[in-house]
Amino acid sequence: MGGPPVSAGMVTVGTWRDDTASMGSVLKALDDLRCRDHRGAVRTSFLTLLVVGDAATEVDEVFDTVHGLGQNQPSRVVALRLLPGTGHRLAARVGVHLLPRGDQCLGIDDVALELSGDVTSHLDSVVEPLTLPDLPVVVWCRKDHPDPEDALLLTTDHLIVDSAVAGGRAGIVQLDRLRRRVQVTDFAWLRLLPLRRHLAMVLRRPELRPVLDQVSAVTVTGGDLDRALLAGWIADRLPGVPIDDEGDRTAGPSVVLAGGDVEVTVEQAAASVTTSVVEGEGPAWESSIGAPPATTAGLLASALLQLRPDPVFDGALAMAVRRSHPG
Amino acid sequence: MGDSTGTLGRAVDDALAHPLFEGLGVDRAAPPAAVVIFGASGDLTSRKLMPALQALASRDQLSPGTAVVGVGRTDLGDEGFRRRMRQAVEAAARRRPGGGVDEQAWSQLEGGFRYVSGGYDDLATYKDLGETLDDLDREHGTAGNRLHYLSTPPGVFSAVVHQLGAAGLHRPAPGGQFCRVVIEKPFGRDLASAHRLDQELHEVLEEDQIYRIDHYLGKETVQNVLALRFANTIFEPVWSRQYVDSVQITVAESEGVGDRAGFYETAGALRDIVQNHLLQVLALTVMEPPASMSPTGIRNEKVKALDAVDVLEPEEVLADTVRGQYARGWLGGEEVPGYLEENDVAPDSRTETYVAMRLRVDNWRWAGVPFYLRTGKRLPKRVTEVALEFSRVPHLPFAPTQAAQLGPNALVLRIQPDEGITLRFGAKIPGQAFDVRTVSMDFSYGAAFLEEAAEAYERLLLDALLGDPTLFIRTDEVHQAWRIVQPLLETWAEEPVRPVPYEAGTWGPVEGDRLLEADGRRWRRP
Repeated sequence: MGGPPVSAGMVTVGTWRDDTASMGSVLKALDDLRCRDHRGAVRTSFLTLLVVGDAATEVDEVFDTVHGLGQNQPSRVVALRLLPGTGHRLAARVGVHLLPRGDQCLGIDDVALELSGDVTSHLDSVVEPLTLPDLPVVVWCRKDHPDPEDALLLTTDHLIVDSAVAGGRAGIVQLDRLRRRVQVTDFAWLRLLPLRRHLAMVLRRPELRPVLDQVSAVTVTGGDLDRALLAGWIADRLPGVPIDDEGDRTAGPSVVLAGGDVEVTVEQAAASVTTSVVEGEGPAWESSIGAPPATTAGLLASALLQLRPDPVFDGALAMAVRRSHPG
Repeated sequence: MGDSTGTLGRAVDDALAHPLFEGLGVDRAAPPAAVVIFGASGDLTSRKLMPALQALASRDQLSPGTAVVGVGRTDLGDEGFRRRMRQAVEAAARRRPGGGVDEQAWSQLEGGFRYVSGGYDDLATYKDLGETLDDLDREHGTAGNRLHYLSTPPGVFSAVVHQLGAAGLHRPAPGGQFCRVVIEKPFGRDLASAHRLDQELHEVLEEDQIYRIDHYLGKETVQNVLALRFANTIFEPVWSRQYVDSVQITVAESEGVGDRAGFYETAGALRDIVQNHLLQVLALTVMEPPASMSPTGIRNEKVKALDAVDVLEPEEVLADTVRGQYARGWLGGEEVPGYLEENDVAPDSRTETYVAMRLRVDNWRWAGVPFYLRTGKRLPKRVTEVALEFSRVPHLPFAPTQAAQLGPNALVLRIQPDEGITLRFGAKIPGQAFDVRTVSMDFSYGAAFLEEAAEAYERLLLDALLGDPTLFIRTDEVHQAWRIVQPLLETWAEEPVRPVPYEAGTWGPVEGDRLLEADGRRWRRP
């Protein structure tokens, strides 16, 4: 394990590593490093971010992403890389950094652990000593959804996942079970935000607002997962409206909403969102606005800023599951 | 919009809330409206109002049916106004670390810029404005709603409002929900002129249409005074004469008068800071808990708090207040001119740039607790804070030498900069001896929240669009504040002597220090 990458403006106070570490030595290393130049810095009290990845996970990439959050760093980042094999292994790397924010200097820690053997079945015992007192613990699962019975969830206040890489549409049943245990943010849902936002905003226009009371048909397109989430969302928010989710699966996500003699279409492409409105036989009104693809750091920042229940996502997910598995 | 929409409430305009809008992370969103800015070519529009509107659009808190209409004497034209607003947005973006213009938000706004040029007392200006607003209702979906923002010199407030009335623009257009008028301080020059201004405004507008803005109330940390006091168990029980020995409120500026001498010569620190910012902070500090965080609940309690402040008799003004004027000195390693050397300042000016005062709040909670207020320009640093110093313990079971370094407990609310709260208390100094020293326990906003605070004008503009007057000043608050300040104005006007000079870069004249020393206390060093 090499030295941790740091973002612009961040100053590393010190690093420590040990390929045969114990949790005691990791905690001592954190204390020792913090006692160097770190005492003049303000210890932030935002949250502990725990990142869980598999053997293929590049820990440096994780820290790159987290440090890419700039001034909105979690107070402590713990990256767990779970290795195959039954032999016990606990390798650790610790970094302590300073980050200027306004007229203050904030202190930030990161810990990277490589684990294998029995300890991977008892991650809570590794994580608990590293959580900061009284602060939320946010777990970001970069690959698979965790098992809803995983003991790790006992120490988790908020779970961040990406359904697009964790099973796609097939994984939403498990995700629905997870969100009943713990608050969940799904990057796949956040990626659809530009589309949802434009549709919602255009329907706030006073002249279009009545369309919502007369919706007769909705069509959604996009990949399997996007279609499931969008259809679940519409079905949950506009109960009883007929939804056609068998549209173009190769196109980007879109929603076409017809009501009265008005048809509103919002399409999300790779780098833009296009909204068009056709009223009767009249000409189409169209607006296209640049919306660069969301970066992982951008999605993570959005997730960390909204650590609260999201009943709209919960409703969309539950409805998506019900539509996919009517039984 | 009813009174239930309070500071701590959430508000998305009811008529336009819809099921697909929920869950977008937008707690508060404005209805469609034309925001009409009088004095649109001025500094406030470029520096504060336009960046605030752009920030609101960026957070989806403005309706797509939002238009911005500039009114001013300068003939800019629609395109010139749009260009100027774009420059303002770009300049604001440059001030943010790594900030660029949110083009999506800008594209939402840019189609709604219009400009009307003309004199503020010329009815033709308002007829043009009326036609422009009608066009916007038809073409841009502003829905007949109006928010008139008077970013003009106070001398034309009355003329603008009367012409709005004459042109029928003081009410929403047919089908619209509201027409509100935001006015910037100062609200009069004294108690009589404040009454006169109100009377003139009320000839055209209902009180609930008038939004008197004091941007201090839009600051997160000022609002946090309410959260600290009324959301916690541990502070309110000690927030009274039983435990509080004295309260100090400081609003210090390191800047001099700069290019505001024209205004400042007619105002001074008393009108510029004390009558509004300082007394508003005082009101929030001493008010009783409201039954709810509704606009009426909070503003009623603030009025009652100000009403409890004892008005000084003329002889008390001389004993309990100090006015100063900065002289040449050194600040931040640079020699800076005295007030009388500043551009556009009369060589024999008697305008005060520093005020210190001792007030009493005569009610059950605060009787006997002195409130020391001070403000000044060219003080060593820019800082605003409220400090409650607590009474000493009834019996100190230490030898005097052991507690020699022990000061009073204090709770300091830091409003700017380094926003946060400090609790000062005694702790044992590590070592064999049992010596006690005062230490600080700090809470810092910057280290506790990932969320960034909205600029004061963002908050207040959105509140005005939503019809939430909680953070605006009601007419009776204005009158109460002038009632407190009026004896100082009158007594000082009759005083033959000039304000006491103090060296720039110091904490004010020694007379200010003596005000507290006479009570056996001293100013904190913020």
